[in-house]
Amino acid sequence: MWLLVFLEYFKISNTKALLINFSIAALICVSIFYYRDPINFAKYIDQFVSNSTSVLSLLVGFTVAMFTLLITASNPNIDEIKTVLTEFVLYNEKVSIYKMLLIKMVYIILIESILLLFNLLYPFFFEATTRVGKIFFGIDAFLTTHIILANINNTVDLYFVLTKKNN
Amino acid sequence: MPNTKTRKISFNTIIKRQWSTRVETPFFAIADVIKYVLSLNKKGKQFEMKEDKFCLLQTAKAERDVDTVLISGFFKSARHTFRPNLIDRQTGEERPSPKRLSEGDIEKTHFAFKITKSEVFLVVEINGNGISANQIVEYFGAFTKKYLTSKGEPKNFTIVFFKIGREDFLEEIKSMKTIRLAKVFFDKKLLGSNCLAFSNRTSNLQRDIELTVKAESRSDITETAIDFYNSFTNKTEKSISKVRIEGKDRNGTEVALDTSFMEKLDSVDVSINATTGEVETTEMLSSLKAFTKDLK
Repeated sequence: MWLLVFLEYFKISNTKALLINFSIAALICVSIFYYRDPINFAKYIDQFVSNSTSVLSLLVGFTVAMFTLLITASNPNIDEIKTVLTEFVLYNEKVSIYKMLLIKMVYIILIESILLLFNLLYPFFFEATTRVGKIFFGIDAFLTTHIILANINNTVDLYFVLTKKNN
Repeated sequence: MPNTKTRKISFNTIIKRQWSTRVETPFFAIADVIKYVLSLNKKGKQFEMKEDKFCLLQTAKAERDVDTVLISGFFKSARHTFRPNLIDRQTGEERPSPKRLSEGDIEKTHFAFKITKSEVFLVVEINGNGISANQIVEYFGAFTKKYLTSKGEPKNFTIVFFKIGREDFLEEIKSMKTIRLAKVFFDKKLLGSNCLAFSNRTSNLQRDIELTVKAESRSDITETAIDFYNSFTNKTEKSISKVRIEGKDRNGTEVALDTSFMEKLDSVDVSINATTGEVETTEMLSSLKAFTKDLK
């Protein structure tokens, strides 16, 4: 079920935009490991994990608010995007901008929730000083950066929709 | 006498080429020049051509849309200093022609200009006895000079036209003698997301983003042109909206090939006036206007 959302998200995303997003996330992740302070690194990982919990809960709230706005707001621009089709095809049908935004938001909420759960459980299962702990921290940092970037993109997209210039 | 005549249609784009920089831009001022010509008297509109022919812009009507202007009308031309005797088909009798040496039989040539944000198209009927697209461009070239002089401005450019090929594109590319310029047009969506396109923020931009590849002087870029065309047809690059190739064909004539016109029909059947044998102007103009519909 969840996999379907991921699949739909990747099918309706622009390959170039996705590549840029993943590259930036990977770059940040690699730099964290490259410039790390070997003595305090484990301490920073613990700090990151505890900060991530509050940041992600805020982000989930924010994205759910945006999702609610999209599905409940009575705005002529939002009504219009239900009929404007993109070049992306899902199940032999062209996807509307409205559906595209919905899929992206659901994907973001899903990843944010998974990350939130992961960060809450991290201290119970992993030790920041161990190799496995560091690898999972790397994945965590990568996905957090990726989802924040995706969230920024989605917010900008929604902003463009709501502030359409009417000629 | 048959009731209809088949007329071929030629598709062209009109461009002005600056003398100093050789920069080519669509000749958007054509609408003003036509307006200027229409304001002149009959004699003022006349233009002498080679081979004892003259022509004049008889009428032109502009129709404006949101971002396009469509101007349709017709030229009258005639061959003067030609007054042979007349011969009757039924009796074989000959008699002196009643017309004066300065007179000639009127030939109408219908045309339509479509001015979009990025191009100026000229669709013209091919009438062997009338005037050609080349002569129409020559006519407007001469009157552009007069128009600019009347405004106190110098004319520092030449108006040129490119024929738009409609045959098999790849074959046409291969048959060209030299290709000096290849243009790839990308959809402006390339600048951002679907939402940005929806927001109309890029509506002030021209429809497409243009990438121009020019050949070094005396060299040829046929291979590059074929590569561009292949990328367009294979749809490996979805954002390419059209490809245009400019160069010279085997006869040395400047030709532009454009993928937007590959499947265009190039002839039309028009009714003829039973009394004069001329094609019906209203019908011809509506056919030309229909041809301009897909030009973008």
